[in-house]
Amino acid sequence: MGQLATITQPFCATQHARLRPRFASPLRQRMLRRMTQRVGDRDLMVRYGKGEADAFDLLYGRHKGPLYRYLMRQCGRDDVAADLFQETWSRVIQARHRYAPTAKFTTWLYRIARNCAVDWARKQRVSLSLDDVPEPAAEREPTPEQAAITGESLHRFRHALTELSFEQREAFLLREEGGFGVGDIAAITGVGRETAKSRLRYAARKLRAALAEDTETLDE
Amino acid sequence: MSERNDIEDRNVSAHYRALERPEPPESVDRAVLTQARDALKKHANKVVHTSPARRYAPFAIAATVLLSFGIVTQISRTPEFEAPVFDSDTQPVASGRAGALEDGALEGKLEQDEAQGQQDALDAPVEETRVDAQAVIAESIKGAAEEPAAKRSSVEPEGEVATGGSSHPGAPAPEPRSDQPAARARAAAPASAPVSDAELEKVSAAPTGDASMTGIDDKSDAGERQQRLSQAHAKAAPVPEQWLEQIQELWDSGDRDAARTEFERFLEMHPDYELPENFPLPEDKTD
Repeated sequence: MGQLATITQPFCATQHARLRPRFASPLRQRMLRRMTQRVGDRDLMVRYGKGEADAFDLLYGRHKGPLYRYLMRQCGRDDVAADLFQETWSRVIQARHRYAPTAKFTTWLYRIARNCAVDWARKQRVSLSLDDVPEPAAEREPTPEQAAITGESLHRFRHALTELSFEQREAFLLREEGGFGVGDIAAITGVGRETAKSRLRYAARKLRAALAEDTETLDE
Repeated sequence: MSERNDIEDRNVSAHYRALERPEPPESVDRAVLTQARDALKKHANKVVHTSPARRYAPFAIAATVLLSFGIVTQISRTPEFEAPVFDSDTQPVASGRAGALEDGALEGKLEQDEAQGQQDALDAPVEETRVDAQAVIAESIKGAAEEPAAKRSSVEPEGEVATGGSSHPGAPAPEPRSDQPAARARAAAPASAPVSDAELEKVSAAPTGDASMTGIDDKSDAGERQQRLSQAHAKAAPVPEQWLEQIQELWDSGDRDAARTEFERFLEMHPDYELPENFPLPEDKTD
């Protein structure tokens, strides 16, 4: 826990306030500002590779949600997503010494997750059906924009998402969950930039068409 | 619709964000974190600390190499042994110096030395040269008589007559200083015979031990050596007439075997020398 305190030490506001009079010089303030900056994923992964377990805890906490959702949307089943999720992190742990700090950690992480998903899809040869998609759960307060989305449109959207091809859904999920650009998506999926862009375009077009049908149905 | 809007659609993104946001189960979280910590513990247990012997191995190797280099350097700077002097024509003067004779530069220098010595000898009066040669030979005989025979045998190679001692049974070869080729030449000369050109050439061609082994060009030593060589050439210039006189004396004194041996050597050295008409050949002198 001491190492975790070392990593998250700058976030202790009270300590910062208590030390402020003694750190009045610009140099001290710059040092404090640097300490309060968010530690990058690369540094955390490197620290974990050197033996700091707390660094992995921070890293895992940052990326577990988006990664799990990416896998769950991609395979469509909670149990499979949990297995793939655990397999992904297991590979990360095993490959901690091979991680090169020059590579972006999220790109590296999602490439591993994507490989796990592709392996699973090849084994299963399954096509996701509507029944596999879990029902929405109201976990957070919806934004006004989200509140305008009716249950029916959401259902159609979810269905349209499952109707996408594996590659198109993959590109869309990487964009929405991982926040990746076209270049990163191309790097993760191992295709050219134009191919990744084309997949994104087709995915957005199909989803938009599904929502337009929903609107037309309501208008009728 | 622009390309960016074709890829990004706020409505599509809003619908996606309106979907449920599931998180991994707690059990999976615990399993992953536990696995991460266990991996570090296993790795820590797998770390094998290198033994001190392994850590110090590079230093030991480096020290060995340095020590070996120092020993080799020291040995190469030390003269191996006293260069034995061989007989005049047949053998090289010193085994360790044979290569020096092949060295063109050294040979040229020695030829200059020899030429200088011969020039000095020619410049000197004949009588003076003879007197000096006699003094040198007498000195060498005296020095040889004082030297213990054991010391001589330890220096000369077995079976090799370095000084022509067979012709002088009572006078073992003297032990010259190794760093004085001229003195060695004088000592190597037979008591009854002057030093020949070839012998002098070979003896003088042998450099001092230090210079030959290390290749260090000691200029002061070289100058001194050149001076001694010049003196040696001047003093021990070949005088066949004197040699013949000594052979005659040996014959007259009754040591006829020595006289015959010396005469054979004389003929080897000066096969083209015209013997005086009144000089009786040892073969003709029958008991």
